[in-house]
Amino acid sequence: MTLALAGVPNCGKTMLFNRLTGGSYRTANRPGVTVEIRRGEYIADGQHHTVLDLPGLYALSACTGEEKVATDCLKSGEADRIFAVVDALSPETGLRLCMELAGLKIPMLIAFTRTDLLPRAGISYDYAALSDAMGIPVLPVCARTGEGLERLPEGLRFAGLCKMSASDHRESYRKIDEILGRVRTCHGRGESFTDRMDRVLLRPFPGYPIFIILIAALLLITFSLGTLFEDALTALTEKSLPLIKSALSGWVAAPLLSLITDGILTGMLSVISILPTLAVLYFFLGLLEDSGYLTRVACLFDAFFGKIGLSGRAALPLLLGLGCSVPAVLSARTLEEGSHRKRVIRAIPFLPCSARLPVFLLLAKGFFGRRCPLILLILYGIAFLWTFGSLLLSHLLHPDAGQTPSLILELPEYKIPSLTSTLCYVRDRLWEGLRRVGTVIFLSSVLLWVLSSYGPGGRTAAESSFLALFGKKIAPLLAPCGLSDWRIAVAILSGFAGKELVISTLSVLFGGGKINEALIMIGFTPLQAFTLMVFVLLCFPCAATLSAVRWETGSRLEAVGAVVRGILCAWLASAGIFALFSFL
Amino acid sequence: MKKEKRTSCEKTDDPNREGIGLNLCQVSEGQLCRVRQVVCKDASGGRLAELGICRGSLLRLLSVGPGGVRIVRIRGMRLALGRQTAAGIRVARVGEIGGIDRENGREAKR
Repeated sequence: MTLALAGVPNCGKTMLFNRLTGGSYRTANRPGVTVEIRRGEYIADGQHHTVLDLPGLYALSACTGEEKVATDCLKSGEADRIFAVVDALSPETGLRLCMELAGLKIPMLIAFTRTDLLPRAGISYDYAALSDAMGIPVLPVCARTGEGLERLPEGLRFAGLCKMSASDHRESYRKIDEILGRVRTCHGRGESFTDRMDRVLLRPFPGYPIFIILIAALLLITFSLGTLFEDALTALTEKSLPLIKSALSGWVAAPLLSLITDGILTGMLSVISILPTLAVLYFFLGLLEDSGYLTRVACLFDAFFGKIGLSGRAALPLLLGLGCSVPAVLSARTLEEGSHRKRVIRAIPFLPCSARLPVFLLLAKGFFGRRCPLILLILYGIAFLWTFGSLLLSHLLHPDAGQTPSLILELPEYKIPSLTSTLCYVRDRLWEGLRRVGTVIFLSSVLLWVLSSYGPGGRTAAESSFLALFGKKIAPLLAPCGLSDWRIAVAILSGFAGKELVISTLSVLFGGGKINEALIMIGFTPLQAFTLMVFVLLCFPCAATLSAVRWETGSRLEAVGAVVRGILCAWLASAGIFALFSFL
Repeated sequence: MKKEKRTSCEKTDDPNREGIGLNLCQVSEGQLCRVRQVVCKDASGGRLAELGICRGSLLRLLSVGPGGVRIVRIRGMRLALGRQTAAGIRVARVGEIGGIDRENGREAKR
């Protein structure tokens, strides 16, 4: 049997899915976390059921991309049962959706989630009466603890067609109000904590200063802790590599030893050393997301985005872009208008994703010393300015520039962020990083070593290798940016496979962990280090992001456009900065 | 007394119709209102109806955010409505401070 979990956004479908299937998918306190269908297996009474976790939807008339995904699945007839998930704290929209789903003629049962929060909210239900009124089983469940799910097999047996059906919205809500009036008892507690917080956080003052302080603190903590962890891991790498080299020297031939230590281990360890930095960034981003604050950013910046032809909803994918561009591109699905989705997707690659952060940390620390945090903040400032500049330009050039969508967004309650959920998020991102170390980084390190160790005449020094021959051909193009060294050109190009590869390539080509010293040796100046950072900041997105861009826009041209735009913008900005400061 | 800044959507409304033809931009914080009419673009109007903002619904304006974003509570849900959307929702005031919102089953305290 196939069971589809359907419900309005942020009602706890994924948490319930994880509880049923033993999955560990990301949950967060904001609508639009799930944008794709997830599948899992639920075993009850010896029977195997397939469970589908659908993106949230308010109605079958899909407005946004992720709603269309859910609607298409429900209408395809793939599901044998619908497990409608309704938030017990505000069940009206969920119940109205149930009435609309009744039109699909698929047997249904209802899960009332977040029942653990009902006593604190002063709400209680007569579930038997509600079940009678709807004509289908209603199970009060707590997805966090799993309480109430033991009755699911029984509920599945009695699942039936909902006897309430939707006519027009007003009539549907009138019926729901009538039913809830009979089955719900409320003991109102007056103004809630969320109301009081919103009264403070959603004022221009102190709303904007608090947002700026939070983001600056997030970045500064990430830079500081990341630098500490990276220092420790780099020191460990520097000590362990010679030991490994000496231990293996008697056992393997010299070329193979060089491949293992100078190629594979150097490349992989340089990326592993950046993982703690990423963990810190994702941890704090996860906390912000789970607290319910991130959704408020859409309200704070609605007026600002209105000036560039977007609604405040566009703030969410852009903020997620600080972590990784791929989920940010996917979350642009939550925007209503296709043209706005495209504009946001085009701007996301200009934001500094976490994989670029290690390059900035390395260069800023090596060339700017104690001013490293300031330089990094300047870089992030450039990225934000460039992103919003590109959005403004696309607004001015776009034919529908005059039509600004209006914000309609459900705000979640504030809550203390769940440490488990946040750590799961960090674990998933780190696991993804480690997976890339074992696959893309490993293969690239081998390839880089081969190309930098062999030339037309066989085994040779790096300067006359295939890689040098290729790098020297493209390096002159980067000379106006002050980046005329072939190794830098190769490192930038390698970022196409993954931005972590920039640091890995620099490590392999400059021989280990002391990249900055090697750069200083070849006469690299702080200005060149800064232009390199700007180039890496704005240049083309990685292959995974391009794949996501192509998938979301359905156009290869968009992916090609992202590469061309990236190269042009990076070159113009770097060359401009280099020329300006060289002149000064 | 500090004069409250008026947004463009407030200016478009006829003050003589206050009480029967207010839009959501003209309602003060904490005020309980009944929706009289929703005059929005098709997509916004449809989404508002799906969320329960249709004629006869009761909503409370919780706060006003930057750029005129209205935070309202309707049917236990907290919604952020952009200024344009809020200007398209015509309402009539219902309760006063400390009144009882019986239709939502909640005390209308502020």
